[in-house]
Amino acid sequence: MNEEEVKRFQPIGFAGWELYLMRFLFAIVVYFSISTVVHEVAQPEPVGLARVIDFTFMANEEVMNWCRWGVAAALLFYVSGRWVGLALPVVCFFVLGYGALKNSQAELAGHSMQIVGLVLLAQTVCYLWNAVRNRLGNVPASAQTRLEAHRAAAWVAMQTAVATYVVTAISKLYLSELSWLRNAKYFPVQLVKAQKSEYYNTLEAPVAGDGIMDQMVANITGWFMESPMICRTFLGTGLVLELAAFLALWGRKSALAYGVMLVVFHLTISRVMSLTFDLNIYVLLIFLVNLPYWGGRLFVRR
Amino acid sequence: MGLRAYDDNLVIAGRMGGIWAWWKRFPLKTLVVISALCLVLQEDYPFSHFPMYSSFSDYSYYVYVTDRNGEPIPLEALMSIRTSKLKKYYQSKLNPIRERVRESGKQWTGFRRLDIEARVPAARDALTWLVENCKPDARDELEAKRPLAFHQVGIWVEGKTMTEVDERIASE
Repeated sequence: MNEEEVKRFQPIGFAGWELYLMRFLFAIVVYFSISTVVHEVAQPEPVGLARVIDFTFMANEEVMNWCRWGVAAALLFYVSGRWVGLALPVVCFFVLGYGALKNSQAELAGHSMQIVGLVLLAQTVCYLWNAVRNRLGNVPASAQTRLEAHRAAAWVAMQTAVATYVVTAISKLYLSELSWLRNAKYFPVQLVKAQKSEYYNTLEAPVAGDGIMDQMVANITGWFMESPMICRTFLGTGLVLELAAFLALWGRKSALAYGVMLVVFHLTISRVMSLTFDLNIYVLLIFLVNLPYWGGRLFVRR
Repeated sequence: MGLRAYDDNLVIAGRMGGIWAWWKRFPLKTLVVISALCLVLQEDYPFSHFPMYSSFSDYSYYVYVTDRNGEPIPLEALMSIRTSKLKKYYQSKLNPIRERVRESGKQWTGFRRLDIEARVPAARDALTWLVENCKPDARDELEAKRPLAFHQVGIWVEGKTMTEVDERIASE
């Protein structure tokens, strides 16, 4: 058995090339999570950094272009693994500002950007903490200290991604006063609402295909109405998956298994309820599923 | 300080030191800290307690908009505005009205039984917002479809039966 498989809930000993790919892929996600055109010209209910800084300057297309260039340049340093402690705070500031502006629109705020903002914030703090600790401890900069810093950053990214799922599950239990599963029998109301809302977005009736997923989507409301038990089992599985998401941090294999399960979970909800979780899926694929590693292992074995 | 109190303080300090030493070794610090911050700060970007679908009710509703001929308008296809966003805006305007009804002493019976008259101002605001936020290249097409009308469709479950009621709340 591999030594790293024996250590449970411990930082994974990622190789340098894995960490490089993770940073490269996450940099792409971060860059494209920022729109070229920002419509928000006011901050009616400021949140986060928008409480102290007015980010409506991002609605100016020219200014936003410069911001994106700045972010791209800083991301290049992040990907290269050099001067990350200086470059990542710049990226973090712009992404948190952009997200704060988007989420300062009172009731129109959304939840798509949180996972990217949280991972960036956690990684920024991690790199800065490492830099300060090494400076105070007079640890000379070397390839090994850089590798350790990148490993620590990947580990905090994994924990942060997992935390969003654990929090979601706790909120469901807390806000519903533990009656979430009991009231899950009303989920078909949400399904119909989501499907009809989606219809009025385009006026195109969903095309029913022959695949298992298509059949499931077409029949699911009827099944859930007919049997609240099926409905509770379906939703309960999702709740347990979210609540126990910290098990993804057990080791490499559990990260892969949990990452895949959460991606399937998101894809199912996307299909059934016409919701999108693109950024969540990308973060899971990069930091938990880590396909390059498993693909590499498969290739080496053959 | 008595010897006993001194001993007690030493025990407490020892325990605190033990907890601190344990915390320093604990490998999931980020998980705990991020989770705690999300739950405490709630909606303060990038933190969130992710309250979506945290409670289910036997009632919900969706909204849509019709043109001058009473035909539904494909909001996202035409204007790049999703019906869910329009609903969020409508609901944000409905919430103060709901509070006023509640404060007026009338028995509060939830959105489904809020009088249509009470909902008209919120629906009119939503139509105005929709027109103002239409993407520039769709303005001409939208103008040809005005006056617009705002519809709210209530959905509820009773036993194994689901009912939908379409109400035309307001028009321009």
